[in-house]
Amino acid sequence: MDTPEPDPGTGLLAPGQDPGAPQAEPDQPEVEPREEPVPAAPDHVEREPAVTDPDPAADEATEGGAEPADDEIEAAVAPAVVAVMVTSDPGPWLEGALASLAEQEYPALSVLVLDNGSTEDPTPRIAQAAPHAFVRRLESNFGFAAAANDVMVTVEGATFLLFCHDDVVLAPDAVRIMVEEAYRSNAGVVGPKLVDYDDETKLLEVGMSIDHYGVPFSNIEPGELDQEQHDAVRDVFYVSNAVMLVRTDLFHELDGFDAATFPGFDDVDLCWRARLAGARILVAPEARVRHRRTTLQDHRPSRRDETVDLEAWTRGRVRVLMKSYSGLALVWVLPVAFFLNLIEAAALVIGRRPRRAAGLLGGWFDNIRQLRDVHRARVSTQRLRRVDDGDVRDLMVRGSARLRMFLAHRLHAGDRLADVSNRTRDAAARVRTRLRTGHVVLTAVIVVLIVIGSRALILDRVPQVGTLNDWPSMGALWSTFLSSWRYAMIGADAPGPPIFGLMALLSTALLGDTDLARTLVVAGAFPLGAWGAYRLARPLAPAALPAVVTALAYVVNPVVRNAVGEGHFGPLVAFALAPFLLRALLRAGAAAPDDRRARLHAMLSVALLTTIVAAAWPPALLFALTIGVAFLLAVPVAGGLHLSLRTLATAAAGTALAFVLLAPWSFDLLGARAETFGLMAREPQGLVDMLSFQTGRAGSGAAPWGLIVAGLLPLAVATGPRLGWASRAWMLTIVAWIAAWLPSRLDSSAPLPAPEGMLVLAALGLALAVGLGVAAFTDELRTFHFGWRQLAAVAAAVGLALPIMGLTADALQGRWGLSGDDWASRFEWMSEDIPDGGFRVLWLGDPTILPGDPHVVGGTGYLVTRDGPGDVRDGWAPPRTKAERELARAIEMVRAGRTVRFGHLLAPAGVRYVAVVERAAPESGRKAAIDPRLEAELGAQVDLTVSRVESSAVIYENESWIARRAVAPPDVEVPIDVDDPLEAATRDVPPTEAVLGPQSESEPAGPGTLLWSEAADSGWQATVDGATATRGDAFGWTNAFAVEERGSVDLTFDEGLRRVIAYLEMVAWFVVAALWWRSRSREQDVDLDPDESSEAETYEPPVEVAS
Amino acid sequence: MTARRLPIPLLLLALILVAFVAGDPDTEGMARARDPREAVAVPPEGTTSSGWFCPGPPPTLPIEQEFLALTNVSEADETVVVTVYPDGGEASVRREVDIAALSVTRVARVDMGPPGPVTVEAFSRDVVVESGFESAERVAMNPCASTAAKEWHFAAGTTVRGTEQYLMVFNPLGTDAKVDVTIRTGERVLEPEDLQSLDIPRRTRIPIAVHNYAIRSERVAIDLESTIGNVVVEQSIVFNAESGFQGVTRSMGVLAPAASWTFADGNTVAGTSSVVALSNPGAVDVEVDVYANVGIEVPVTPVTAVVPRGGVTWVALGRCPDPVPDGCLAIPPESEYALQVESDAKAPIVAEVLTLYDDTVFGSGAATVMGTADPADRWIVTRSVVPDARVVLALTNPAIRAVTVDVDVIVDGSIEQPDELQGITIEPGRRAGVEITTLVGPDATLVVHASAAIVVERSVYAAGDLSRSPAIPARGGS
Repeated sequence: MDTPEPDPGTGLLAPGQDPGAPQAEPDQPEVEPREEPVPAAPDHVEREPAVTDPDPAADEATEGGAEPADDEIEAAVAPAVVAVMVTSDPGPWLEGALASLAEQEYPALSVLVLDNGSTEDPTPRIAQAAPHAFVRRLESNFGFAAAANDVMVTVEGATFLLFCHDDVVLAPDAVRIMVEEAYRSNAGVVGPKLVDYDDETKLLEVGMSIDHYGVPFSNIEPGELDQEQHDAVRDVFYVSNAVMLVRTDLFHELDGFDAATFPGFDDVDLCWRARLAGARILVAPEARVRHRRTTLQDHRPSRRDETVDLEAWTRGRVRVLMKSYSGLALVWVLPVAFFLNLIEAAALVIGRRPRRAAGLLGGWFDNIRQLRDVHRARVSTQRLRRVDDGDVRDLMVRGSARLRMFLAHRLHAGDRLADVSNRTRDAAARVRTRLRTGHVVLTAVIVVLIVIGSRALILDRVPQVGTLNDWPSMGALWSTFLSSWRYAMIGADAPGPPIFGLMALLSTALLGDTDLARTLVVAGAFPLGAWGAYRLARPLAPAALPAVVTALAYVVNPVVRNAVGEGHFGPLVAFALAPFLLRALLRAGAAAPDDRRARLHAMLSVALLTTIVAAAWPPALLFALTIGVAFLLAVPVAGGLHLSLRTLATAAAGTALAFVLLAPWSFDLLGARAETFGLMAREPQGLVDMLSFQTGRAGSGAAPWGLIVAGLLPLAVATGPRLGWASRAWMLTIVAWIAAWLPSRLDSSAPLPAPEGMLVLAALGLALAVGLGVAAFTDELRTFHFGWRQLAAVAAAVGLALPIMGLTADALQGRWGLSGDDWASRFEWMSEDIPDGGFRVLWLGDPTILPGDPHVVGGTGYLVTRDGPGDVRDGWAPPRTKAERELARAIEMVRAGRTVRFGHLLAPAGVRYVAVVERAAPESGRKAAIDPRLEAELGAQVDLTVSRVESSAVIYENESWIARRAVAPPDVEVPIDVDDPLEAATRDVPPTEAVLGPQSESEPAGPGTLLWSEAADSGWQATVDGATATRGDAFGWTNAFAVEERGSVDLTFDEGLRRVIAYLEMVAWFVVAALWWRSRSREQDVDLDPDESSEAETYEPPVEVAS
Repeated sequence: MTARRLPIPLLLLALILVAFVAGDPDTEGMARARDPREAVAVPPEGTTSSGWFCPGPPPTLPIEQEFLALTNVSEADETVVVTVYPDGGEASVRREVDIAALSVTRVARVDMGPPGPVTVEAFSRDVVVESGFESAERVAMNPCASTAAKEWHFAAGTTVRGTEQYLMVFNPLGTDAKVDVTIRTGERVLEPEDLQSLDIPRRTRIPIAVHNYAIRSERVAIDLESTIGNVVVEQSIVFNAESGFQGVTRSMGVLAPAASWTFADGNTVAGTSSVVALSNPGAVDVEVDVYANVGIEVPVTPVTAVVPRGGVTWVALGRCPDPVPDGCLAIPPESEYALQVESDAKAPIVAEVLTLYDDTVFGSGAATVMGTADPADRWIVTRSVVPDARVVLALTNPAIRAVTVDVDVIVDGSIEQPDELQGITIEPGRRAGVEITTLVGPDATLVVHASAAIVVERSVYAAGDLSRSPAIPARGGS
């Protein structure tokens, strides 16, 4: 059979012509045209060059050189539109529909009626109503989509195709308005406003949307009157094919309708694909169309038909989802959609409509059965993609369209909702206005709570619990920092930790008042952290309130109270400075790529802050990197790849510089044991505890969960970039939670940092999210109608109130859970009368409750202090030395029951007391029992006597102790340079005499063997009246000097270049600080609204009113 | 790119789910174990100093008959420090005693110093110490304690007419101790006022005459707990003629109750009367099953005894009337047996056997022996042969697999391995009794090596008395 030639005017096939099989889509039902008598071709057709005139008479007139009539001229400039009406056993409304087409004032409109297998030939009716219309009769009813696709082979040259049902009546100007709007807005698809067939005042549709799961949604409520309230031309997700104007080339590019999505989703599918291809879908409400709407949703079929319809409807919907979403989106869309349908099916079963439930789920399985076909359709759809899912989803409704429709249609809640919506919007606006002034009140509340809660710390002494040890004099701090010998533990040839330099600097700035400096650091962590959180959040919202709430949410978090209560100095410093660190990283990420100074300033900020925090708590060296990684992980959710990469790069550079600024101490950390980093065996905590920040006494109950609820608000209400920042904040929180919890889950015996340390970042992220929620509430929520978002805001407010109540309750005590007493006070008697030569105290207990930074052996923590309970200098334990290993071995021996002479073993180290504690502080500190075996064996040592028994502590006195500086008489043999140090001390401890006077110039001592209980090191030198004494390893692990003649002894350690290096370290701090200060002048130029082009990381509130 | 709203809540939801499902760290096995120490045990490998604490017999018994056996099982000479803390409060007497390699040095207690407790300090794990009486009319030998502790428990005691029951509470350490003593009879629990917060000054011993508190009580169990300090407690029961028996029993207590106890040696020769005393220091009544494994294929029906909370119950062993009453475990006459005691629901109890011999083929006398809660694969028997006495080494295999046992004999600086003491196979649940009187010489030390954990006891039968005691477990050694 020859391929038929189209009509030369419109491209329509001439009556009786066969469109031919070759053009038919293989997977569509074959359309068999029937030759029927057709009335004359339309007499007004477009005259565009590409379109041939279907009217031979008009053709001839033109060729004959006759002047065209006015209407012919008008038709010649108007783009050709072919109205494609699909009908099947049409009702009496057909004539009206055809008449409305015939009466269109648009000059270049042709009409093609596709009869979809009607049992009674409608041609006579068509001829009567629209004499110029073409008719094509199809063999069977293959549905609207398949029939409409027939135009791809039967129509040529038309600019637009106007698809319409046979139950519509178009206003005379409808086609013209739609065509004009298509040109004006460069739209690919345009739809009219649909009103009720019988009552034009009632609205049916003004463009349609769907939810994320493909369920159609119209914001027109049933019976809603047309008061021109929806008459703005706007983009919509799709328009109904009741009347749909489609650009012909687009229709061909899309390969027409997908017949498999009929019924119900052929129009959704076409418009979705059009959007993927970059085309706009518009509704032009001025074009009015009456519609009888005998569609699937409108009629009430029998229960059996209903099941079949629902199955087909679901099949079409799922097919559209599977075709149109990107692969990544499908991962979550399909499961959620299926889950929602499962719930719906369950509800149907409960409602005694099991067939309908079966139909609902059957639609899913139909697609699974036709997976190959779906895949093919998906491939061809995805080939069209020019925009990503995010842009497509902009026009989808959020949440469940079904739920919305239920509320609007079933509960007839539209008016009430509108009323409530208006009122809540007004209320939100009023609240916003009030809240704008309320931040002052809120700030005052924060200050008052902090002052009340910290009053005992401010007015009284900060107890020496955990690592909140007393600070010695300013000179001692400087000396500790500059000294090349660490006197902590048994002593070590190691540089002084930089924290002592920082403490010394602060104390110097406070004119040497170290107590005040310590109090400032401990009690000041709250306000400083709050201030930092405020500064962090301030650029993220135009008003001050969100920033204040961020500060509040940060301060009410139990993490800081637990850090104080547990006596964790490092996490407390981290709490105070982490907001500034995050702020610096945000600025680094947000800085313009070419603003190098701003980025340098941000990097220097990161370096300086990391230096301070890591000096106090070494794991904080990873803080900046953790933030950077969290931002990077948030990219798939929040976007901002460039921002995240810049943040990570700044974090890496800042951390590297901080590592250098902490040198040489930082190099000592490399390869050091876990305890050197502040890590130790702790009782593992569950993830629930981590999520609720309950690492200590604070945080019990539901209060911390309220923070999480409050933090979810921006994810519900924020839009645009603010939603992105909320996502990043949450990702930081989640990463910090996991980092705090996972190590103990993988290995319950693994050494862990103080949990509050890592949780600081989680608290910070959460606080930021809460602040962003408030910003979204004040700026964006008023733009939403009443719904779950408003309820979420109420829930968030309640959620935030809970931890505030918890903070208020904890504030009453006045010291944030910190004990009022400490072991240092209880054991002050030790240092009241320091015996000549000095002594040491060995602390044993659970590592988490010992004061300072204990080392650990066999799960038991141990710490050594000098001449009493010790102070902050005994913290930041140095790397282990051989001597300390011997000490650890001695502890292990006693625990294993391998000695009954523990006192003898400790004697060379000058240990006079062994303090066994089971609480972090007397009476009220955290309790952690010591290893029962060790406890039992200690009690069975023949050379230890119980000196003092306190609640939760026992002090043993070593009957065999030797003063730290002592001389053994010449006739007493001291084991020197022995192979087994402990073996040497076990049998006999030599009688000794303490050396009096200062270390640098003692009173006359000797002759004999001078025993110096610091760890054996060849760097130690002793001179006796100027003569150098020969050194050896006393007992194999301390120092012995042969004193030939009685004289004044001077003990010194060879410092080498270490003091010079310490000075250089300080110079480096000042240089970096100066650079930071110089670059600070450009800070004001840095905008947290980075130019991310397509990523558009801005903070402006949305202008569009979302529904 | 537009930010997505759903992934973070989903991530958070997943995290919360994980938190509630699998968020708790695996803390199994992290619970603190009870103090696993034993009152008597060879110190662990790597020991650099060890102490042996001998409270000694009641002061009413003559010190002249008392001895200390210092055994060195290493191949190097050892020197120990023996310190006597005189009862009169005089200055302690300290002596160093050399012990040749692989030998036993037996010293008369009286040579070490005046009456009083003794501490022996050694500087390796290879020295073990035993003390006791060894004469024709009194044989009471048992190892000294290798540790001081806060808790001590005894189950078998009696204060019937003609018996004196003593506790010797020795504080060998530098800290004064305070102890509370609880005496359980079959009828009641006594907490005598003067035995509460009883001071035990540092490095002294205090004898407690239990018979003055539990007067004429057939069943007496004792628990001692120290509120401060650690002590060593030994129980002695002196049977005089009025009791119908004669002799002295001594036993070192156990540090903690346990759910399972094993006794390796027992017999039902004519004239014997034995009971296993079951003490329940807990707060709930406990049912206890007592099994006897005889050396022949004769099944013995176990008995179940109810031990009330805070009470003490005796189960008679051997001949029972017909029908067998409750509280009697019928064991065929002339049998040798091992005993197994198991409490229901793992409730901790204390089990101790009291045996009285009245003119038996082995002689007359009395003995108490504490059960063994923790079998070991290496044991040391400090003295193998006592002059004029019959010595039996009893080996019991409580496991479910057969074990092979080799016994080394350390004597006079060498290690001998008599054929008769090599490759002894003990079937599961069975006992092997080896009379070693004729196999080894006097003052030998036996080191028992088993292929799996067993229980070892030594019984000494002299004409006028008998003694039974567990050997000293040596864990973790070669």
